[in-house]
Amino acid sequence: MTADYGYQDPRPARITFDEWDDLFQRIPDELIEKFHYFPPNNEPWSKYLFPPQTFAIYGARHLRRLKFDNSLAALRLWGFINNESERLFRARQMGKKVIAVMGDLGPLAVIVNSFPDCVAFYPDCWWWTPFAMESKVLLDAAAQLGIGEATCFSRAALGAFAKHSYFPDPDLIICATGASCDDYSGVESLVAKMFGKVIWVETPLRICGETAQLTQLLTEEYRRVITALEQLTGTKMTETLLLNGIERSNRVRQLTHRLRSLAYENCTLPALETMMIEFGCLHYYSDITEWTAILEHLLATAEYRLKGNLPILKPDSLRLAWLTPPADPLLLPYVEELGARVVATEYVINQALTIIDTDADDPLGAIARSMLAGSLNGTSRERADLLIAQAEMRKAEGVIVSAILGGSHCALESKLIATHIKQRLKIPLLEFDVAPPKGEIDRQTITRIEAFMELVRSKRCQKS
Amino acid sequence: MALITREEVEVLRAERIEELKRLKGEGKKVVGYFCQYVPVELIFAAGAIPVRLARGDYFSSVRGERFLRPDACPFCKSCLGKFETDPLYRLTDALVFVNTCDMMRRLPEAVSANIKIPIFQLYLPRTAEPFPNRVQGFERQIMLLKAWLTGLTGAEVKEERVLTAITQYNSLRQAISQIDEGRALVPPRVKGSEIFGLALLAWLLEPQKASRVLLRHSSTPTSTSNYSAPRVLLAGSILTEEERDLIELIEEGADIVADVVCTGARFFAGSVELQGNPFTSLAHFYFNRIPCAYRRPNDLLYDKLKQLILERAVQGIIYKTLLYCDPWRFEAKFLRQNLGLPVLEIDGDYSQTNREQLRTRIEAFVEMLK
Ligand code: SF4
Ligand code: SF4
Repeated sequence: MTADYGYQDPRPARITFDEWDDLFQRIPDELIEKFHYFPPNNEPWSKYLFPPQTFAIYGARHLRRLKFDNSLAALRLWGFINNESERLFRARQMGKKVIAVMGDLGPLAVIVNSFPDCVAFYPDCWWWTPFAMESKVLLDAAAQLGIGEATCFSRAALGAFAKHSYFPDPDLIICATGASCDDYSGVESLVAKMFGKVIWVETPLRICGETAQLTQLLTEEYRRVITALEQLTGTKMTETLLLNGIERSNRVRQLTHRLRSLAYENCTLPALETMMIEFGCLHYYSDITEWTAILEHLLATAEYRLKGNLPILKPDSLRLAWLTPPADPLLLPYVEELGARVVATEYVINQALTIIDTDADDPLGAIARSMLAGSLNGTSRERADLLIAQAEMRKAEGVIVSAILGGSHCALESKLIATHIKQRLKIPLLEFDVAPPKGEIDRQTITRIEAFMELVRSKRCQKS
Repeated sequence: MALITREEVEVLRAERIEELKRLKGEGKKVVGYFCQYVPVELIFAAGAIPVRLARGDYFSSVRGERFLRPDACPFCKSCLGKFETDPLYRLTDALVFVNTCDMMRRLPEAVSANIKIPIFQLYLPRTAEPFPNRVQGFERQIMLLKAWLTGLTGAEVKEERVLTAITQYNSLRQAISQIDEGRALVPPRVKGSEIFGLALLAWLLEPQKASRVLLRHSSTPTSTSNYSAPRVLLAGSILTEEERDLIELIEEGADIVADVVCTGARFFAGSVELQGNPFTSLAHFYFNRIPCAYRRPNDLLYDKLKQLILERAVQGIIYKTLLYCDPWRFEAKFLRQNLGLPVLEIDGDYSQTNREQLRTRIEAFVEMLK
């Protein structure tokens, strides 16, 4: 796609960092000027369409090692994602309230974004930063505060709070916890101690037959959040505002659903970009309006590719299902390099993907029900089933479970999930722990992935 | 003369196991539970026999690794391992889990995948501020547990029976708390190891029998220490029955005058309100117990620590955590920085291989406190 912007994407391909730089030269200046964050603002400082090199210079060193989708929409996506820190500081300068929402992976951002001039962000997502920067600075900072090695990389968020330079100190911190992981709940506990005051939100365990009661419990939690935001902003939350917020979030979720299916079924987008799209449902990278526009651009690109039979990956690549997001972004392009494509994912953020019911009389209750669909507050078996359903539908030939050493849910559920998936799908499964960041995938993981891919390939050969 | 010796505890345990076998033969159900947040009164009022499964050692933890990854908390791994070897665990007819930390909350799935036994999972909000929706939500859970117990035992859990159970367990908790006051004295008249031994009896024996044993023993309190032994407080992850070794190791040089361990003083602290609806009272009591570190916020745990430090003239803290126990391990730095006392951190996986090293560390710490 492209006609709309007067720019023709080259034939779909995964390109290197240097190739992107060359390609960038061909993008007309008017187009670079066109995209701004926090629209309708169009001040010169709010441009974000830069080649990956710009962000590599400012610290996102891993970009040099990735492979990218060569569409303009994908460049826009990367520029926007990498610009989030700047955007948050700018939000503060513009007088917006910057609200940290932690631990619930989706629903709280819907509420916060329903307030005009509030910007919600997820410090949780700073877990990619040590990999993006190929640096352990944030992990070391977390260790100094008490969360050391053998813990989920989400501890980087604690380091980011301590450094005060990755995002502005929030105007309000909302921490969801409950039937959630211990690692992140520990991060929240220390953040709360550091800042003196946070709002705690209970995330209930999903219990069969108890949806109405749990919805009620959660609705009360959300009411407290709304009261705090009303006090902070001086804006009274109305049903219209809330419904409007839900509709905007649903739009993002709908676009994401369509993009996922175009990527996983029709090879129109690579796995890494698709993962970043899925994660956008958490907090819209702190700017829902521009994020929606980017998703629409991506969708137009993917539809164009579908229509023109222009897949970015070979449709006959080995089909893999992936469970738990890989903290190291290098892993997804790597399996593609080896001749695979991802066709199903369970990235523990199901609550952010669920479409919120807008017919309901009670919008808060509808948000609460979307939370109850969360991947982490149900059983491991339910999580496994989410992946199995997709894997069956898309005929996955292998499953990769990327875990984290010391991650509380990985430690308890990985074996259960692996056993269940193996029994049900009867296809090869690889489970490995993502190694700490060091700028490249560690040798052992490479060997294991390669051996696994050989196994999947040989199974396919046996079948044919 | 000691208040209660380890040998006496072991004799009572062996007797109890025989008694449980007999009671099971008579059709009674033995309901195991792991955590201090389980409302035992309800199990008892349903005509079942509650026993806390608070054992854990290296051997059973390694056995548990057949079902869980090595980076699971050793207590959770032990729980699985124990079902293969420990007579008490093997006697249980059903289990009640509480949705506490993430590891404990997922353990029932691992258990039910490997051990075919009825399980109830009680959802207790992790957030500790007692807002009405949370306490009411928990009360609802208590009612679900009540219905499940009725299904298990066939006996209706009537209010009068719950009140009787509350009265009996209140007396038991009060009796240990009273004895525990002896630790506050200078010199302490009761040892920490004895208190842990009595707590163990409280979750193992029938409550009235446990109260009788306590009464018998409390009539013979003895001064156990000289004035010069440093006064320490014990905090951290669950201490299993087998870890009495560690407690005794500490007591070779110091007095454990207080603790905030869930198999110690947190287990017998407080009383359930006797007025009003007993189910509501149970909900309030268990919701508001001195918080385990996993609850959010856990400020009340720190308040309790500060209170004990003052009231019991504590000179140092021994902070014992389990490897991969995030809720307690993550608090270590903050605790060290905020309580203004020397802290000895011990992180373990029940392995005994570093025992001599541990002895040296404890001795050095105690020396420093003198
Ligand atoms: S350490 Fe906490 S969660 Fe674990 S058994 Fe004790 S009270 Fe329960
Ligand atoms: S609080 Fe710690 S010791 Fe207790 S069950 Fe959880 S992880 Fe294990």
